[in-house]
Amino acid sequence: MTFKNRIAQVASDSAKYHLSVAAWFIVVVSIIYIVLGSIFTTNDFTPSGFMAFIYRPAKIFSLIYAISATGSFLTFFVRHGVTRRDYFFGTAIALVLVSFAIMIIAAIIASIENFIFPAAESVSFFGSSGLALAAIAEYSLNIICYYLTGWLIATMFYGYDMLRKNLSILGAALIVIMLSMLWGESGFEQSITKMFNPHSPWELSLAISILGTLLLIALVLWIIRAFTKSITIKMK
Amino acid sequence: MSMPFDEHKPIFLQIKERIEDQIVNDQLREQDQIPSTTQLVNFYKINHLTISKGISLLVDAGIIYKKRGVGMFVAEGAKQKLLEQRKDVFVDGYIVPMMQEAGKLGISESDIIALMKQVKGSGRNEL
Amino acid sequence: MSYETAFHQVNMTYGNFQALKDISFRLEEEKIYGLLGRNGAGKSTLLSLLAAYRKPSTGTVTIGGQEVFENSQLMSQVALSYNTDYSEESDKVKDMLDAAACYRPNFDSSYAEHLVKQFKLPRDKQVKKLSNGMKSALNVTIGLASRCPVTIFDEAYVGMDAPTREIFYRELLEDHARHPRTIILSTHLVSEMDYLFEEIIIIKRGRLLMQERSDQFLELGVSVTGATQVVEDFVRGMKRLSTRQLGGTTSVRIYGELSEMQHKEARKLGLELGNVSMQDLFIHLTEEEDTDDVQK
Repeated sequence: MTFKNRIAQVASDSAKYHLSVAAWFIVVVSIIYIVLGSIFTTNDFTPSGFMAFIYRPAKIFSLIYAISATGSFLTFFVRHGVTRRDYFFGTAIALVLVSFAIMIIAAIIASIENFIFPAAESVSFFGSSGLALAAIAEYSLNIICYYLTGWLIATMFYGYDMLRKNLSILGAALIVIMLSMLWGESGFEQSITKMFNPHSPWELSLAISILGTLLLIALVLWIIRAFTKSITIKMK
Repeated sequence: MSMPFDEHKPIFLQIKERIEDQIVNDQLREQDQIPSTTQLVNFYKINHLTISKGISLLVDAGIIYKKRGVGMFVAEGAKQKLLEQRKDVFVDGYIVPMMQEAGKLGISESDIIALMKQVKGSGRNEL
Repeated sequence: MSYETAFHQVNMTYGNFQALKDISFRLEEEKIYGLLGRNGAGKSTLLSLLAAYRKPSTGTVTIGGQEVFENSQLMSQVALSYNTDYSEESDKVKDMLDAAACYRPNFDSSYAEHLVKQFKLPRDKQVKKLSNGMKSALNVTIGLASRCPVTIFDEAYVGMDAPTREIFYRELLEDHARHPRTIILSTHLVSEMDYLFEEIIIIKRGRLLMQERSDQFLELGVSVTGATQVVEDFVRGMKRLSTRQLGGTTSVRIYGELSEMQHKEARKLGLELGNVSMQDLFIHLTEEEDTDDVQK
């Protein structure tokens, strides 16, 4: 079996498992959304629709999924004779696919919602397909970053000492701060951003935000690869 | 399970003797296939090096022969050969030690003969 | 390709602790090896290096001349079964078998089914709910059915009852006869597994003590039995493994081969010479000589 096949195999197995868990996540969030939506009136409750509603939980879901799944997948693959290199590239491909899949599924649900309840007052981005694609890209890239954050933490906790475990937490915080600086989000993240840079209202263009995020993704992937390259597999 | 091996004798010789016994007793007849080394290892719980050593003695002596890729078989005339060999060692193996022991116990030659007749009459010699 | 396995000057250090010290040996293809050592001698560390679970601190671990670590081709051909912690494994037995079938190029599913029947493994039960013996049986099933050219069982029998271990040993020998491959069995239960090994490797405190064909290894020990005084005189100056006495008869196991002369003399003295078990030799060779350490 050539090693390119191996990467594809790892990617497809990881993605399948990840998606099966993500499917549950989407179902649960959808139910919560419907319940909340029926309790509160549309005016009070998330005028921006399902996609914006699922975005935050999806980030947390990706983070937690990555933290909880990384160790057992790494052990599983090496135990079955897969190299760390193939594990790394396969997992990276899978996480990109799944992150986009989650947001595409969310977008489909949102468009169904929009079709059934064409709420005039809701700030829907379905007015233009370009806006929709931009939203999917933004949300997916953010979810990828959260997954990577979890992957980084889990890697350090899997095979490294206290110092590097702590550094990984610091690294995770930095990634989140970078993200909020790049995307100028509201709420919690933005207040952190303001702590660091109180005078600057971040108004970056979408292209710069995307480019910056891609660079951040590349950097974190590079760090994860460096630390998984020769990682010792636990015989547990 | 199998009889325990005598720890004062090389195991490979005992393996050889057990296979010989089976040929002499007609448990294995001429041209019969004998168990494979792996089967013998599993049965006796003896290392295959030891088993192979015992078997190669039998092959060298022309008692069994190997067919490539098929297995091992009892050779034509194997039983006859073994019986002759055993007769040759009967005196050294049984008569001499018996007479030495009888000497220690003060049993005379005529007593020995009488005892032999007695055992034969009682049927205790049946295998 | 060749699957000759070699360790070359391998050291493995964890912090201040040196788990393996200058280990070098070669394993020929298609033989069954016993890796013997007491608990903590470094057996698992050594085997985990071969399965590329970790990288040696220094030295090389090669198969067919190529380093195993991160070699995609080789890693798929090495299977390591050990006493795995399955307490959180919610997959079913059949899922685990399917996964192995996907990743092991030589996996034989019908043979795996045969083993599942032999071990009476419940295919639809979650792995975490299996008894320890069943978990080990599952590991052994995957290990054997993977048919990897280098197959390793690191104390894979843990938790199995005697009849199950018997099935394991029988299947191992039979499948090895059908599909010869390098098999390494690490154990400290020497007495019931000694007949499986073609060669043995003994490690003690992270060092390679010896590598020997098992029949030649057994010749390293002799038991001498006879009248106490005669035996004592005969074995004087020899390395004694153990002594057993019953009335006026003494049986002493000694370490070392006897010369032709000594054999003759023993016969003349009316002493019985006998075999020593692998277990006895192993225990002697791996005894912790605390007194020696004090002297050093």
